[in-house]
Amino acid sequence: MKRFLKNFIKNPLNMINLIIICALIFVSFFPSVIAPYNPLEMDSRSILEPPSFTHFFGTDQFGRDVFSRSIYGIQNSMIIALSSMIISALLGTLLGILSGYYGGWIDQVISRIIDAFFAFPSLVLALFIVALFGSSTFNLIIAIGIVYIPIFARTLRGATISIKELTFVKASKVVGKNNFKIMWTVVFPNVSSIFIVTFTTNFSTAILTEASLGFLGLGVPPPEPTLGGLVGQGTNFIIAAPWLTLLPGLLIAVIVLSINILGDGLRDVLDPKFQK
Amino acid sequence: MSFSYLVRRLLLSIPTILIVTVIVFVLVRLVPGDVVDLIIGTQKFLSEEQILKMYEDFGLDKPIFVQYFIWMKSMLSGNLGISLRTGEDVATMLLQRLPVTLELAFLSIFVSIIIGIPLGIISARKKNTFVDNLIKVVGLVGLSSPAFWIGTIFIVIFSFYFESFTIFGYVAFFENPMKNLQVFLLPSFTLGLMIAAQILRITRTSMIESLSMDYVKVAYSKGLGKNKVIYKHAFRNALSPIITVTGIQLGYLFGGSIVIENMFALPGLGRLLLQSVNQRDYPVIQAIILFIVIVIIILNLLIDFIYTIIDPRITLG
Repeated sequence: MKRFLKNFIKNPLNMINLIIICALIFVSFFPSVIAPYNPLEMDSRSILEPPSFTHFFGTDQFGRDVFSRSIYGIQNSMIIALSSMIISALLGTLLGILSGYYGGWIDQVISRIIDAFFAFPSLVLALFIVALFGSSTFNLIIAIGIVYIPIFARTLRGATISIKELTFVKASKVVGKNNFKIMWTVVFPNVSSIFIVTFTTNFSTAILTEASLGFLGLGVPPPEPTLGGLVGQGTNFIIAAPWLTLLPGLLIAVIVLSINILGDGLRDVLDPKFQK
Repeated sequence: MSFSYLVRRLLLSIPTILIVTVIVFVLVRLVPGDVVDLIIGTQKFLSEEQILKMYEDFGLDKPIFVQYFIWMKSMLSGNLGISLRTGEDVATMLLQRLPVTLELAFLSIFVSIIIGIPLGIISARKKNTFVDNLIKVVGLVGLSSPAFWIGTIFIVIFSFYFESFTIFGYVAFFENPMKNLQVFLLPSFTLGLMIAAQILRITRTSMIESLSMDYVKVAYSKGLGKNKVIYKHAFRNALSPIITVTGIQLGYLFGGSIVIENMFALPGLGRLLLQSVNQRDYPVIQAIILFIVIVIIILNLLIDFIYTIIDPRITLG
């Protein structure tokens, strides 16, 4: 653990990035502290204004402050991405460890179902589910949650298979621990670094999936702001007011980039494949 | 190449495809309200008998697994159903839109390969130098930027600085090839750049690995030229992971094309899908999704076969 922290801190990029991530977490918890205006308040006197000191990101066609909407958009996007990642992490890890640990027909059944879900491109599956059941925050969380189950299941299955023949796992069997106890107390801690890396790298793509759905108009229904939704609605004014799309889009890119850098950094120190 | 592997791989994809059809079938049936409700809509004056007759006509009075077999049978015979909105044959609609999506997919993959592979090779050759770091950052930024954002940047730049450039307005290739390629230029770059970032990263990693192998040192010591060693020996050996990643990106390509086609008003499958979603036209949605997923499964199968051809070390027993 100490070595891990030392390696992680050694890279200055990781530290800068950590600050961005902390800011992101703060904004997600307390958007009202940062946002200068009410994100839903309209103002007919200032419509489609370009960015200025009073409106950092300008205003939209209803005179709403785009910066404040983006800040609340971050909160919505983070809630959806994080909740769905928790769903996929829980179910995916459970399925992956079960199928890797038991092998045999359990593995066959789980793997075939996972294969089938894996064949769906993430955006296509999410869009399909949202299209069928309607777009609400809850449905989006479920849809994106389902989409990322196969990735966790596959990765954790592979990791479990690679450690289950090792002596300490076999030893716990000999000692007479029951299978569930072994999976929870022996297998999981030993695949947890892979779990963390999978979680971080897919968290960033979950944000992109949510943003893409929002862009297509299938995200959280208006007037609630989400980052993807802001870009999508802004495209109607792309020539008259390009800042409506460019600035919230930039925000998505920065958020995803910093989570990707975090993921890369974690992978370099945690994933045995990337260690010298 | 072992024949038995190919057969096993082929056989394994059959249950996958079957489960995919079950997933799609079940999900569509889970939607509150069925086809009859949708058709009745506001026409509440239909009598009880007429409604029962409609249930019979659609086979909705039968048990669900019987319905599934009837559905599968008609799918297999090429009958994908009829659009609830326009009454058009869904298979015909798909075939009309398919060329647009295929052209976009083909051009995007082309863009991503001509950008991703050379940059990845340069990055690997100049490992840990300024150039390498720069390319790495570009790759990471490309990976993190949403396609629709890159697309809007292109649209803004081209509409402000290149006024004579046609951004929107699809023309078929055989009608006007030049105009067609012009219309496809921005969409395929937008989508291609995203995939290029992935290809770049994997090319770099696998080239670094293969450049450190003994056979590369042997090739150099034989006195072979640098380019020959890199392209003939190292690159060829680094190719399989690159192909895997490119294959995985095919799925991304179909997802991305939904966004890009809508953004650039290209009348492909992705645009049809979103239109159908907005109109709740379930037969069309279901057919497009099934089509995309089955195409991806088949493409992945093909990629597995390509492996064995380019990399004779793999016997895949």
